[in-house]
Amino acid sequence: MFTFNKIPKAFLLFVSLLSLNSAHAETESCAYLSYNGADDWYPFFFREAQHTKGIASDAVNAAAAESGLSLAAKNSMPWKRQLLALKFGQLDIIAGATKTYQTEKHFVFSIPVSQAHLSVFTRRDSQLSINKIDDLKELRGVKLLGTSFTQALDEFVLEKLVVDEAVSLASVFKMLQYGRVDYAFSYREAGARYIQKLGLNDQIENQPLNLSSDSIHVMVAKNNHCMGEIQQLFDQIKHLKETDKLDAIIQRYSMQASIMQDDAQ
Amino acid sequence: MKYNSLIAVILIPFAATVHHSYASYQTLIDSKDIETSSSKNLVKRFNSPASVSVLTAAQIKDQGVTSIAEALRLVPGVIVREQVNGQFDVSIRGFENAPRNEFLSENNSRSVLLMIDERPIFDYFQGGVFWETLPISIDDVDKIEVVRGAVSSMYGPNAALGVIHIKTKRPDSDKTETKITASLGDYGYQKAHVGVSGKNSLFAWRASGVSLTKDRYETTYYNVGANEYQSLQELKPSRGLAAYPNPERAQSNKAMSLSVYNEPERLVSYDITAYYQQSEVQKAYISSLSTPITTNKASSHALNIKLNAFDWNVRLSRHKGKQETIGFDELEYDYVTTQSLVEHEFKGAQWFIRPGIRYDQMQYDSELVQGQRTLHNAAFYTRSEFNSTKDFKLTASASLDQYSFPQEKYLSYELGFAQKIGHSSLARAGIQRANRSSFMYNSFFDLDLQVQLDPNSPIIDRYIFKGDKDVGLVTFNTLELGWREQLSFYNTLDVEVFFTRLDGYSNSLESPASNVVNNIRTTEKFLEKVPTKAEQIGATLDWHYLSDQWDFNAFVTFQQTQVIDQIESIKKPIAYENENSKASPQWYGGANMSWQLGSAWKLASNVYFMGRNETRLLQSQNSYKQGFRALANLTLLYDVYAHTKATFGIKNLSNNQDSQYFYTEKIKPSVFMQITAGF
Repeated sequence: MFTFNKIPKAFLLFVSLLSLNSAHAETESCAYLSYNGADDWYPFFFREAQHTKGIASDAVNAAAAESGLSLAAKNSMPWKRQLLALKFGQLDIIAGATKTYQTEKHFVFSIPVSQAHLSVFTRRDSQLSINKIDDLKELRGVKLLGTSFTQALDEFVLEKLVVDEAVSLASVFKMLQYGRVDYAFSYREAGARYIQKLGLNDQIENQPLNLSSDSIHVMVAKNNHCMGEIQQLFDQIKHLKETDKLDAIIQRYSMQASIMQDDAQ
Repeated sequence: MKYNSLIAVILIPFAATVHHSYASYQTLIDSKDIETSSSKNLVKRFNSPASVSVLTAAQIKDQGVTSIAEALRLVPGVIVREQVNGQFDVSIRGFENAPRNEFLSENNSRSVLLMIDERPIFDYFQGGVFWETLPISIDDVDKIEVVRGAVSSMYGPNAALGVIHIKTKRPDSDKTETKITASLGDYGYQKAHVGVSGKNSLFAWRASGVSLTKDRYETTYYNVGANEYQSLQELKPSRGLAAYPNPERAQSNKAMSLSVYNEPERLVSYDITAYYQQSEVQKAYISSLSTPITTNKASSHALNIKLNAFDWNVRLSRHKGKQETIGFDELEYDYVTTQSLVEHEFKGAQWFIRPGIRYDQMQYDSELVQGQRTLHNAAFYTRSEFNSTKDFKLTASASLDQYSFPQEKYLSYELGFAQKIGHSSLARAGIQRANRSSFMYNSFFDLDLQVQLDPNSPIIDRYIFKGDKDVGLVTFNTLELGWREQLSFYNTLDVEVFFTRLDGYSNSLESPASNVVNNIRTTEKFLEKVPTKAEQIGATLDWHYLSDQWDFNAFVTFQQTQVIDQIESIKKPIAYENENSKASPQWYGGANMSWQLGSAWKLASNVYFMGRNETRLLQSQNSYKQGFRALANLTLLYDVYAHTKATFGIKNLSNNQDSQYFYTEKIKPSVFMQITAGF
């Protein structure tokens, strides 16, 4: 007769069977390399119609094709989870990442595949003209919570500017749109795409001021078990750069971005 | 409501066939890493000078938690003891029954402020939180932020040991979304919850409703006199339970809410919520009877209006309701609380300062306080922060509260700093002062009754009980030191050491019976200030480890509480002695793990443990001792469709099934299943 006491044991057995079935679905071989990237980081990595796109995604795919390596795109997942998957071998490549103190401890990086340009966005009706960072004094701005710039810029922002923080890029641009702040810090291309998505092209504009540039890399774990293949991929990215093929990829997205910029202006 | 769950289950197949994508924007910061409760400002939790923990809806769902109080077992530094199925006693760090009280009703989260969307939920009759009367369900919770330490300077009195801030869901989708949850389990557990949200060009809205029932784990009650559990027939209660129609039912709750709001990023934003709830529970409330369990009924409605415009923040709330303890008409009361505040933020490059004024009025109508009574307090307060460098933050809050009773001003404050050391360490410290408010019972209790104890004697005993509206307030001073270490981006350690001192204590003291005059013998029992103090020292360790497929969080708190000049008996002449309080366990904690099994399955488990503790009440012969206890819950989740999830859970697997709280009931293992469908 089934008694209550047997439930926990039956439950644990069931779970054990499940875990046997699902654990380590990833192959230990290097027949293919899995890759992922930030969900919506135009123009470096984004998804359209279930396909990965962007400069970093295209660079990785082009380099893999040239090297004869097979790639498999993973499904969208939160950024922190991607870092963990990379660290623990469930993911081989993150296409599109900047170097930080923490990531440099655990991961290795390709040569830069592109640059992200930190820029300033304002409302058109404010008719502000921001040509130098001092023009932001006396104004109120917003940035994504936790965003860090160059050390000099960080110090200037802390000491001279009044800057709110928001939890998402959507909040950043809504605060600007609704007049809570006078300007917003964002990467230029990501911001342009975002205001296009929100249909704010006629309300928000991108100022010409370029505050800083961050290098965008392809990132893999230091302890990746397919380091031979990874090295081939990195070499091939270098080759793409030397043969101007990487520039062609960047150019393709720059053209799209400039169309958006024009829309935004 | 037997068929609530059945109806919801029938609806689920229809719901499951409709899929659509939800708008989501990539953010590099997890929701559990940010909070606003420690400073009234959006901050990364790691950088906060305060001892703060965050519990997200996802963590709650993964762990198969079925009530808000139970969810607090997943948070470091919180002691959660189940009294009756689904009814919990909650305290932060300890200090319940230390110093020892006369009644169980005084051990009722009295020094912890619970807030729902910034609205304090507190009962001012005897002080405390009635967890069964919350007008929301666990399914409505978006986040729970728990700040340990005194934060009265920001949130008002009674946030003396911490604040538990529940934030409810505020969807922002253009589409009308419906989520239905149906749960069934043993011991009569049935829950149906519906949440519907939408948005039009003017505002967004969310409506939710829940109906929940749970039965008791057992049908017997502890007979204090006989020192054994007995059936209701054997117990023969003269009052209270004698009038209760359903001794098997542990709780029955119904609640609904409607929120109307716009986007918080707007220049003028608002959030208006109306609530209604009714509940009937069995719980530990009156300890002076044959058994500590009574049945309490409550109904209430509330309105909370929040307005933000041009850096002004205004909140107005009104809460009206009725509390009954079945069979005790004198403990019935009606109440209306009105709470309001206005604050404005001034912001500079490295600082902000947010001064404000707050006014609270609590009106209670009860036989025990001789009719309608009102307490109110007005406060000037301010919160400010200063960042001298990117790595150093100084915080300061102060609140000067003028109370109607006692007619005195009390200052509460918080001063904290956080210094980042290198890229991955943070040292923090804080000094805090806070106080409880005055309560109706303390201030206005006034009873004069005559009883003929011996029918064969002509002597009549006259008892005069009185509160004292001028007695001082209980005050807490806390010193905290903390260290956070990001060992790697997947491995974090948080350590806090705290020292808290309680003083300003008062207690009802009984004078010896007078000589007989005209056949009347008089005994007086008045609330008086006493020299009793208590000191607590402790430490909490909280370790988070994330892997690609599983998350692990383990935490433990060690604490020692010394009561200085504890009253031995309320009968005069009073004798005092120092004692090591065992009312809160000297160590307690938990471990939570969730494990992603493939793309559709997830296994979660949590363990909660506490060391020995002993509840002793003044005037009671019986103390309640409980030994080491660990209890485990297991949950298996399965994604049936994109927005349809099934949950199977086993709860309360434990080495010790004895009552967790002063002769209430034995807590038994139970199982439940739940289906949630969104469309």
